[in-house]
Amino acid sequence: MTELFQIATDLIGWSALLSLIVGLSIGIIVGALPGVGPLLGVIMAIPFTFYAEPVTAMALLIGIYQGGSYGGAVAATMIGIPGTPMAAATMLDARPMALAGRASEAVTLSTIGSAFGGVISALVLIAVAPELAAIALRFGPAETAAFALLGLTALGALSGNVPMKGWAMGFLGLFIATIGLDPVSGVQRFTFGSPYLDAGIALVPFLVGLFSISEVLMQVETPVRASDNDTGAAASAKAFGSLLARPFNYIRSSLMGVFVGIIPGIGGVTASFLSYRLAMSFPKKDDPDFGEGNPDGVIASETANSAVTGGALIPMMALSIPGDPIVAVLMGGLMLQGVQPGPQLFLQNADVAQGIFLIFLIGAVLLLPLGLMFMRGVVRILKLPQWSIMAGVLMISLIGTYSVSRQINDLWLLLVFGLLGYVLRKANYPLAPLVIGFVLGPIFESNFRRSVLVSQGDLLAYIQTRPITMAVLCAVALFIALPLLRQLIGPKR
Amino acid sequence: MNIHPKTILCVAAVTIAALSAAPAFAEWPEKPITIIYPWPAADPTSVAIRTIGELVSEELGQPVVINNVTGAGGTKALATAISAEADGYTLVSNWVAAQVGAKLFNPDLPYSNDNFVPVAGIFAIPFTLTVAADHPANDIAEFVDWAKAEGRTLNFGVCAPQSVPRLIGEQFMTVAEVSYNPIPFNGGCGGDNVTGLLNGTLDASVAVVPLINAFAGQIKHLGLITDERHPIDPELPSAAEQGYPVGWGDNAFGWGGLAALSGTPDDVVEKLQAAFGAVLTGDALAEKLEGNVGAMIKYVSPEDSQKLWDESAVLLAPHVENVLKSGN
Repeated sequence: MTELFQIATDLIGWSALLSLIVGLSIGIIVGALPGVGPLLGVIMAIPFTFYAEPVTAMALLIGIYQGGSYGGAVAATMIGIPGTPMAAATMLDARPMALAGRASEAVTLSTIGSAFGGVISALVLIAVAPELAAIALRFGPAETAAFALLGLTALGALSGNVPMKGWAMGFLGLFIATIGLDPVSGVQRFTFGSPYLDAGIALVPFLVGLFSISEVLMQVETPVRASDNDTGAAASAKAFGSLLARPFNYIRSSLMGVFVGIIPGIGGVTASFLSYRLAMSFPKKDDPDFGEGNPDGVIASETANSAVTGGALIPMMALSIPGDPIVAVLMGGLMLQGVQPGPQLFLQNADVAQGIFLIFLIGAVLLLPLGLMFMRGVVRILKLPQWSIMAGVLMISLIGTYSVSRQINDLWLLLVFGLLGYVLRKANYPLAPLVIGFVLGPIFESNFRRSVLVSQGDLLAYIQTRPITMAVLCAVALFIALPLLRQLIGPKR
Repeated sequence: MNIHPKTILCVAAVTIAALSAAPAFAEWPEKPITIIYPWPAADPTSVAIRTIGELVSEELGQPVVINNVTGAGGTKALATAISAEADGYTLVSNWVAAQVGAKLFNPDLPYSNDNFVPVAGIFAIPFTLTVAADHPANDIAEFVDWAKAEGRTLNFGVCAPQSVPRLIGEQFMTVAEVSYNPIPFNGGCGGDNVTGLLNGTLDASVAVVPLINAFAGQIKHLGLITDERHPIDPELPSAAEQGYPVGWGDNAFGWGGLAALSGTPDDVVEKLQAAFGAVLTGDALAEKLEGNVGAMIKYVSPEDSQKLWDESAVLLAPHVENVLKSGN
């Protein structure tokens, strides 16, 4: 412990701490703005890191990463628009809570969950990073495909009373994800000869259109807004009480997040939904149903997607395998510093590695006060007239989407998905399964196709040589079978 | 950062020259020049192009701005570029993958070689034959012997599905008469294909030299899939010297350069060619770019660039057809 303290004062110093706080603040803000997101945040921050010390540079980037994975929840709760795809799962319960007069409580829950998940993943990172990195190597195409399938089993569960609607939306998401070049053969699919569509439908216009634009349209019809029955201390007391009342959820979701984070190419969205799905299996008697303002849903999603950040750093630092696009940029930032991630990082640049670990831990802790401060500001914004908020949302959505790719076509796509989202919501179709299908479809498809190729024609024999794949597929079968069995045997609620 | 007195002198000289010569350049360039660049800002080649841009802006007396238009394997950058004015203020970094390879795979792309005028060839990236560190073979010859003794079809990582390294890798396997099953990956040569080597999904893969830094002790390069050794790692044998000549010469590289748009006034093109030629062959660049990035820089004159574009298109065409026929 004294050793750690020594490192803290020697290595981190004020400049790194300051850059961490700046990073966290930027992260929370870009995470909350629809379309902008932490990925754009870290990309734009890279040039500012060129001339900083490695740990100071990484503090800025890691701050944005951590803050960004939380900021989305604030927008999801307060305005009904998930700032990031990860927050789509958080919104399922946070938004109903906010509409029922528990806005501050819901955001405080998200903040606590994010900080908790971050701290747990930091501790895991510090304790066993190199050992855990080995897990990343065990995930070949077959394992990854099976895991994506596991994520897809959440589809039916996330659609309230009519599972069929959830499946329908999930398959629509899968279909939209097939647009573009085939990931294995490179053949064009549903592109109508347009080079713009070759690259596929980008996540940002899809997501921002679906949630942001449709929300603006909905609000034009019938304005609804977040409100607080309990403010300040009372709301905080309720939220912090959940640490004692629901410790199992926090811990389970953190571990789920860390584990998903370690697997390359799965990411925070899947972690949020899987953790949410898992929380649904442990309902508490006095809570509202999931999807109608259940605090456990908020905790599960937000804790898991924050824990992913630490998990994803493990294979990046220990093996130079970046698990998601943001971590790939972090890795680029590290390499620009002349620090090479990989097995030798812990030998050649042990001080940098330990500095990053420590920054990560401090960042996770600082997320709590910074997040709560930010929430106060947002609550004030909500006092503005509704029309001005919605006009602002529309403007930020358009600017944010354009700034990611600088392609005018993305804005047309944004409007198309906005209309689609509006129509689906009017018809009472859930949007979350659409997001899951869209995000997991390409992961499942390319890895499944690659497994078929690698098996050289005998997929069944190949799977039998992969124990993890077998285990995950068993879990898939269980996830599908259990709700059916419960319906057949168990008493109706 | 160490600043040489010589550098200061150089900058001063260039500045004075630029200032005193300003009236003569009044027509071009009178505003910043933009280079549309297809790879992300953190990519090592992006660092190189920024450095080159800085040096060229000293030559021309106008800022050179790098605009990273990434996506779709570099085709987005070229497609974006052709809608700009052909006035010499918008240049594009053209890579074989997007300009030649992708165009062969997808003739619908809105551009062709004819849309561009060469300014300079800048990069030439050699590809390696790479295996996991515990693989029994230590060079290309041993690998081919091992493969033939195994007597099965090897799972062979080939980078992206419609990529130039794939075509080069497959050409090598064909020359070596090794039976292989091509496994494409998203994200090019430096990502999931290496993970595939580490977790036993692949027997071997096409890759690039700098990966050895990231995966030291986990993978090993057996050699370069080229006809000659290369300064990026003079220790690595070429496939040709190990008895398996790919025979593609300069086309066996992932080359990248800089192009203006067709229709740009000749005098502007000539100024651009002269400015970039001077920087790319000058000492200042060599001093600034060391190591792997420096070794990937290879200046090619505009005439030879044009030749390379045309040759690559002819050479790669039948291989693209084979890939399209095989269906994966």
